[in-house]
Amino acid sequence: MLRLENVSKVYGRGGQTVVALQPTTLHLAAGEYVAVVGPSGSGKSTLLTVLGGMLAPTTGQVFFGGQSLYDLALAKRAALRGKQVGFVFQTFNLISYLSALENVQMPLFLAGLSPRVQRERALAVLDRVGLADRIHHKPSELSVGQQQRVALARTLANDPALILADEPTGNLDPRTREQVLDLFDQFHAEGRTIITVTHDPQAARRANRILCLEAGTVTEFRDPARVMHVA
Amino acid sequence: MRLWTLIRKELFERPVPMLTCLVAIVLGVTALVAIRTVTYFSELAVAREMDALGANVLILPKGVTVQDYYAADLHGEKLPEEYVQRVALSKLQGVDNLSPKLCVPTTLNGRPVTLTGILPKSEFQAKVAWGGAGIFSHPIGCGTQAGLPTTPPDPKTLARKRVIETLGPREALVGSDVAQQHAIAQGDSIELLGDRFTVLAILPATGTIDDSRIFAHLHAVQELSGQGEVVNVIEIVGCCKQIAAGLVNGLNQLLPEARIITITQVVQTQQNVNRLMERLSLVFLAVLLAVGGAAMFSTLYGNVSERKKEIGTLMALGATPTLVLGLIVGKALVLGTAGGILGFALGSVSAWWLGPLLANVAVQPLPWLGALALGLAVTVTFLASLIPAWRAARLDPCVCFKEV
Amino acid sequence: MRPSRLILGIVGLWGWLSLATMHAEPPSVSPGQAALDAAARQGQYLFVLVYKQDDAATQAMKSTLDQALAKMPSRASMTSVWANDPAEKGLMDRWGLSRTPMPIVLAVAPNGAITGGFPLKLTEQDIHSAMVSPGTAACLKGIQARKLVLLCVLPPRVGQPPAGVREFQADPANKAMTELVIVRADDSAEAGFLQTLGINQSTTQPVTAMLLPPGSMIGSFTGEVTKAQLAERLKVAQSGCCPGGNCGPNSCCPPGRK
Repeated sequence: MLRLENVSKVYGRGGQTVVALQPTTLHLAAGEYVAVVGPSGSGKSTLLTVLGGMLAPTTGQVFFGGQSLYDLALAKRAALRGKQVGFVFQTFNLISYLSALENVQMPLFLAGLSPRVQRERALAVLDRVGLADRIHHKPSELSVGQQQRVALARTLANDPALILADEPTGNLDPRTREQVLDLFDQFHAEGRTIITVTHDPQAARRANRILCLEAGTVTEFRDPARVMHVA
Repeated sequence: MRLWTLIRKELFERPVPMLTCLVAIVLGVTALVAIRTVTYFSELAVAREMDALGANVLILPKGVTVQDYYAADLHGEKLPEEYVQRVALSKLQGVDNLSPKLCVPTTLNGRPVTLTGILPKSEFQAKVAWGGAGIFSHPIGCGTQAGLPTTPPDPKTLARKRVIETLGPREALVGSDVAQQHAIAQGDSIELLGDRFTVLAILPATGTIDDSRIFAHLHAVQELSGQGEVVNVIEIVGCCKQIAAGLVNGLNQLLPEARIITITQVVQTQQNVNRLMERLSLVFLAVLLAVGGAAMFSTLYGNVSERKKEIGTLMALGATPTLVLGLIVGKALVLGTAGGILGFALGSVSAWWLGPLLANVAVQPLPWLGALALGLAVTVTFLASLIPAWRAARLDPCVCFKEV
Repeated sequence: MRPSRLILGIVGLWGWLSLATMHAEPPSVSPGQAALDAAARQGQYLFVLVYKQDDAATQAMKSTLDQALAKMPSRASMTSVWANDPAEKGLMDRWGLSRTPMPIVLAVAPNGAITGGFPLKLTEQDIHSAMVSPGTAACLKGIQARKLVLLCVLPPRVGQPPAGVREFQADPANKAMTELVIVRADDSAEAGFLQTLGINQSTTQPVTAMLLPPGSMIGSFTGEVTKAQLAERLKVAQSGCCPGGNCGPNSCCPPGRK
């Protein structure tokens, strides 16, 4: 599904050069559940945004479904992202002035669907994540766990093939964390590809492939079941 | 979910900063609309006056100034009545429509009223025909009312023509406001200056001070008020601006002891005020552009900074730079539209109140000014939003991954 | 006394009274009116100096008159009228001179028309300009009587005004308000007057001009004209866009052009 060919990302900041991602060649097959682990500042978010088509690499090419992602025009890339990629953010990134239903409708609106279809689909996914009775509540009126579920519902709204998650359980209590990880398992079982950046060993063990990222270099971790600690 | 829904909800989520710049825009538009509306109607009134009275000339006592043409006799100074016949006999072209007036305050039924003595044309018109063969070179269209027996004059035409053909010594013409106030009808007998007058006619409303006057024969008013053979003004109702121009010079030579002014001079002050107001409206336009635009720019710039994470998230969810641009510009346009409409409404109300006070004109809302105000407000907010919107559209989507 | 003598006495008295009444002196006219009548009889212009005070202005005007009229004693004469003379009240009222600046000289044509009014100062030029042609005087008389003047300018060999003019004037509805003045086109005395009206002296057809008070020509017709045409022109003039002269800026025309 995703293929990185000699992809690197270098930032220039105040005269200094920062290599966020070393030249990397990586294949990620459809249906894989990949956990990306590594210390803070290792380039995990950079990798995620490059994979999500939001950050053009300094070198190399990124192929999504066989087509070069960054050769697409900005608008086409955004459309592709809207339809094929779902993001899950550590801080949920819900829009504070929109209700749960409206937040979930956002990606559907961005995909150009009619308000009626937006509402139908949004209601369906909110029901799936168990929030059918909270659709008109704003994020400030929901618990942390509920907010994360709204965020997950938003991620699923467009039925994406790829889910990119940035520390999805970072701010959750253990019970809620389990709920979220169970949902991820469900998403994976539905055939979606999941790439999650995480510090959580339990979250990492759920994956069937672990990539370690350290100082911008990606290495493969051979036995995910043996992940005890993530730096 | 629609773009408009997103804009609207965001506006109401953060109303205070938006209200500030909305107020700036509304105030700017209000001032602009109020000034331009009053100026427009004032200019219209001046043009109407010029059109109706453009060829008129006033003979006044020296040192008298006139702001309102229709109140030219209310200054209290006097001229000898013999000036009327001097002018009538002078062979100057265009003097066959003279209207000498004497204004005497009096009471009617215990209430103050302005009694205006007016000399009918019949009292001096014959003298205009004493000019020998030269009278036949009068231009056509000037004073050709025959006064033939088959055409009895209608006294009510005083309201429109400002000259009366005949008037009996104890006959009166009553202005519409006075008639209404005192419930006077044609044929009634009224007491003025201790004598009885028969109401010959009630004059139609003119919207001028003449509506609150009673007109009687000049000589009757002079006799009863004991003022002597004097008048306050001699109005020459001209027919032709070209002739009026030459007339002024001739009158200045004929009556060096009097002041001769044209309607142009009378309205000069108002025209000067109108010009000043017009320039002032441009100042307010500049203020609108500067203050309103700057406020909008500053507010939107801050708004974009405030919403970086939100915008980054939207981009992650599939929002194109164009949509992000639309969010910011759309918000500005909404504010501009609201500011334009509110400003026009407030400006029109202010003009309705100020018009009679400042320029002695009644005003109405001007739809074209509404369109202009709206266009200006929207343009200002649109232009002010461009840089913040461009900045928002170029945001690095990675900000959505940054922790708060 | 015997009845027959009584009757005779009464008849005689009655006869004497009748004769006395028949030969009674008419009411006396004022000096001013008498001068007017005399000048009219002699076909002369009369210059009437009306004054309130015998001051320098009055003396100056009198002097000017004396000098000018001395050169043409057969054409004109003068008289003085004191404005406050009770005997002259009729004249003062007729001419409406109660509030006229004085002294004033009025030029009166033999037909009674006032052909000039000169308040406060007088020149010889004024005197000469006041002595207008007979045609002018006739028109002025009609104008001053607030009548419609139909001036017919007839070329040589045309004996009478167009039929339409005669019909118009003869109409009982128009008779009282119309004055017909006939002038010969080839009369040199009328040359100036005709030029003022823009009428060609060498016209071969009659020209009819309509003059309305206080002295404007509202129309002129060359050749035959019908009564209806005259009536229509009068109607238009009286109900036009500028009755009473209170027009907009573009309503004036030079004389002779509608």
